[in-house]
Amino acid sequence: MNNLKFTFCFLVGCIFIAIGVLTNQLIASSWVYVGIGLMLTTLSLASVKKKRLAIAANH
Amino acid sequence: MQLDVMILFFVLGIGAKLAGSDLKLPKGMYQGISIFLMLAIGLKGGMALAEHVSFDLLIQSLLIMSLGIIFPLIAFPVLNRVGEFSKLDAASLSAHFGSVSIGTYAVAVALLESQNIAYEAYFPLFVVLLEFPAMIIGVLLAKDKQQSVNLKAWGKEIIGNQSMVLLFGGLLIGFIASQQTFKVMPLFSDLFYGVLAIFLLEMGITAADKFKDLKNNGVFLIAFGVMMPLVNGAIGGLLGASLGFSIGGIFLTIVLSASASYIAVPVAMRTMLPNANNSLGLTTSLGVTFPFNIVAGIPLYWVIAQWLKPFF
Repeated sequence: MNNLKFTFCFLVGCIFIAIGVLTNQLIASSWVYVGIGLMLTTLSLASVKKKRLAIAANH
Repeated sequence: MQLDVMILFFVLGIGAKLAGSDLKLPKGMYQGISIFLMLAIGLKGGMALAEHVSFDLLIQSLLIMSLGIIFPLIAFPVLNRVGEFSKLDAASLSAHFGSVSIGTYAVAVALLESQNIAYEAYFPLFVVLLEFPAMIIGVLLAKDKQQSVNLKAWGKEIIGNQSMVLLFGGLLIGFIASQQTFKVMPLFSDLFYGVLAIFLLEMGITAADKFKDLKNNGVFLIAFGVMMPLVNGAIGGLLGASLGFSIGGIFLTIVLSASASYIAVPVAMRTMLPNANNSLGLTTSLGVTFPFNIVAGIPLYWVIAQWLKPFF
């Protein structure tokens, strides 16, 4: 995952967590937003870590 | 707004597939249900159009159609530059997000009607009008990859597309026959919700089936598939509110803007951009955007519609 992709996915994840938290009292499915947000931030961070490990292994 | 009983049918479809069930609707039945839903939406819209036809409606229609041009132009650079998809694949995917999902629209209408919330009855006209501009923009965005532009084939594909024929045909029948249409409405009106529930069950099964296709580029496509509905929905909501629609109308404009096509555009793109990886669009619209809109998007769009109305 390149830097732009990572930034996009990570930002979308953060936005979704924020929506989930802000709409907590307004909509019943706000937990879905938090879930999607956590999933996106975790997966994008994991892909960066995987990439770094691959680069380190090559060296 | 609470989740409707029909959404539970969608969840059942996903759950059954993920649990390894062999539950599947016969292909002919799914096609029959799709035809029924599109005709029902078209007929309802045609009857309403006969009562509301005016110059204002023409202006509103043109402005709503412009959304179908704007959305692919927003999606394309994100897919091409950030997602690093080829120009051809990005164009095909963009077209999916510029068009509309009949299923999402039907769920939104069912929610409004079950709660007796008023909306502009001529909205099916907008559904028809939003179906095709994105297809043309998608092909134009991919243009330099094409050997030549066959306008005749484009026209044939757009006019002959099953969704267009059924929606526009239903609209025309409802408009011409007007009050006479009531003769067939016991079938198309009373059975609508039950048929929609079965449609959503099948959609749940199909959506769960598409999850596995998200392995490559999965994180980006999930992020894109949930973010675009919010961006497009916000633009649509602002337009709907500035056009003076009721809260129900603003809500439907957001839903139409936020949805992505998984019936008409995939079929059209297969013919119009045969060299593109068209499964990307279907996977994202059906595997990510449709479930997101049904489960989490629609309740948020309702809140946004209520929030936007007092500002205009």
